[in-house]
Amino acid sequence: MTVVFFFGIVAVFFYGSILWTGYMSLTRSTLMPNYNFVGFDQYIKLFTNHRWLVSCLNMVIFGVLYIVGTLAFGTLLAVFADRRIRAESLFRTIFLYPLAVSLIVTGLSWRWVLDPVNGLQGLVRGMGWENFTFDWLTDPNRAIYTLVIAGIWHSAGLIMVIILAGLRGVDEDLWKAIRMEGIPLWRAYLQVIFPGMRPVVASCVVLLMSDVIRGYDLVIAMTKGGPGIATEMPAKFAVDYYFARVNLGLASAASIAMLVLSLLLLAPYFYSEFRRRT
Amino acid sequence: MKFRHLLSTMTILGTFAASSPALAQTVDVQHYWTSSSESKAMNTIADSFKQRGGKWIDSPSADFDAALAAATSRIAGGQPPSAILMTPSSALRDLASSGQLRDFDDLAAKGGWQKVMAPIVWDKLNVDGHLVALPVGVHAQNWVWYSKPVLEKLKISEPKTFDELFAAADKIKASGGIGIATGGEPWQQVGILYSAFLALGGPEYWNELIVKRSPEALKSPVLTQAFDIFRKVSTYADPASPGRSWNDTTNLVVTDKAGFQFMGDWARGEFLAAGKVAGKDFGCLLTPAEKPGYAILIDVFAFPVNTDDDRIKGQTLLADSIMEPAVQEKIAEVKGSVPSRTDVDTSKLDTCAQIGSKTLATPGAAVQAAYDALAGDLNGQVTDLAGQFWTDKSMTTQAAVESFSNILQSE
Repeated sequence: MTVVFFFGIVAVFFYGSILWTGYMSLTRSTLMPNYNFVGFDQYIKLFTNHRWLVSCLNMVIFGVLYIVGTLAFGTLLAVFADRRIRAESLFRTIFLYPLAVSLIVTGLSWRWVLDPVNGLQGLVRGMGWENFTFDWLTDPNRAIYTLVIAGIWHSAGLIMVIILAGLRGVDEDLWKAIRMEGIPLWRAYLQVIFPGMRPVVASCVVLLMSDVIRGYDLVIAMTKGGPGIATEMPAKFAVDYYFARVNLGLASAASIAMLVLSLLLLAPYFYSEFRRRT
Repeated sequence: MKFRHLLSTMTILGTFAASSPALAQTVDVQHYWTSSSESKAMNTIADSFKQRGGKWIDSPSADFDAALAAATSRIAGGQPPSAILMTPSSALRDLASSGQLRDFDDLAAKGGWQKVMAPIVWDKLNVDGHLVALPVGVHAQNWVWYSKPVLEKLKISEPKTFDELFAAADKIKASGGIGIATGGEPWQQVGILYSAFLALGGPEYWNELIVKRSPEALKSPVLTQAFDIFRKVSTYADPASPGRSWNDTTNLVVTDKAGFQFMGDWARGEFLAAGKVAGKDFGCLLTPAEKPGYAILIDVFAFPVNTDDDRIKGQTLLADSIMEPAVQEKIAEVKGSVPSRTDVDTSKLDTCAQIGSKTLATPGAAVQAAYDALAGDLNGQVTDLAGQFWTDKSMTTQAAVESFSNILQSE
């Protein structure tokens, strides 16, 4: 009974909303819904909108660097923690801590740290290195990388914990065999341990990917999409057009495009899962 | 079983909610006036309203967009606020034509409001022949503010042309200050671009370009000149400029760290809030032009249709409070706007506000600011373009003018 009830709620509010958004994307709705069907006009407008294209490109740049960076950094931390270091739980807490901080706070703190006048650059210059320059936050060509830095800082701890849990699940006998064969540690990890952890890594990738597609709060707190439109993201595009620019139709088209985009990105994962099961 | 339990709980809660007694004439005001001068202005209205016996519920948002977003969500969700602070933009027209707004035709006829408002203001408040918004004050976008001490120290007199202004800014820059303080948000940047259009082209050209969007106006050399001036202003941006809010930017001029700022006259409110006096501590001019225009932005309250009797009465009471001449005068005094009623005593307003109300009264000088005049999301698209042109120095003026023309012709 309860299951059916909740399934009903999910169906109505979740899939119902998606369907309604899809319908809205085919109308010329502005502030309030308008149910006159106009076909794919909004999608044509969307894909000729310069800001949307920049947003999509930014999502790809940010997504690739963020996922690869977080995975690499988180895995490295997990491997170190897996070597039974002293005070492991202390380090684990320290590295997991950023995750407890909301993305807005993360973004604001990094904005302060990277602010060329009041942040790191100002501090180092104040200590006497007058020529020290680190103004990525305000450089339109580099601002996107500051988002990557903040994102990795925020999520690496989570990945560390997940990978560490996976590493702890590795059979002791396997380690015994590795030791007996005298395989160097780095090769053991790269060629024996990690290949057996594919499902764990895949879950990490899916988790991080959802961060990328949702990517809104970090951008709002750190760069507000600027300088110019250098760090705009699709989610911000949709929110801006829904509310500030009162263009429900175009914003819905953007949302549907994001949904399709994320399904496309996840397709390889589903495909490989499906193939293994059959 | 569980389901029935849930239902009965919901019924009980519902009964509680419905039976809460209506005590006073209530308004729930969705607004975004949060800077120091703005909150003073909002308090002026709230105090006058409370004195008349009303109950004020304050629902502030961080900025303009957020306030409108909250208001539309509440309307769509069936719990509309009593009043929304906004400007007569396409959003107001959308709300009004979908029947979401209460009209004040009866109160306007009784109070003779049409006679005491400038025609351009009155026109913007009416949609399909109904008065759907009440004005709080009239702002203009195309102002330049400067620090008197900074200019006096370097023996610079008030600039009359863009060339003089840039020469003055260079002098200030050479002396170690910030020549022109600019904020990093695209809406602040696009304001400079619009001011340049208006200054170089004059009010008539502005109406052709922005209001009518005529193809001939897009061929004018004014566009190229304006984008060049815009680019020139961008070169004065200091390293801390990206992302800086408008009031933090104004504060650089207030504290004499910067010489000039291009900003609407809401900036005057920040000078006043810091205890500065117009003409003595700071100066003001309309963007240098042969024929000065006045790009007005009206702060208005719109009143979504409410069904609760208590809240309807609250709206009427709030309407009376807003339209009271004394309240209008006080708001202009603290916020930097010009009163929207022409019968308000302006003698107490400072020199800058005097310039403002004089220009507003000059026939043909007042024009609609782009934010209100441009349909749909055109203003948003121009804002994106301006932000991009500002930061991306490799984008040529020619390319910018071309994109601009494409945007204006896209609807």
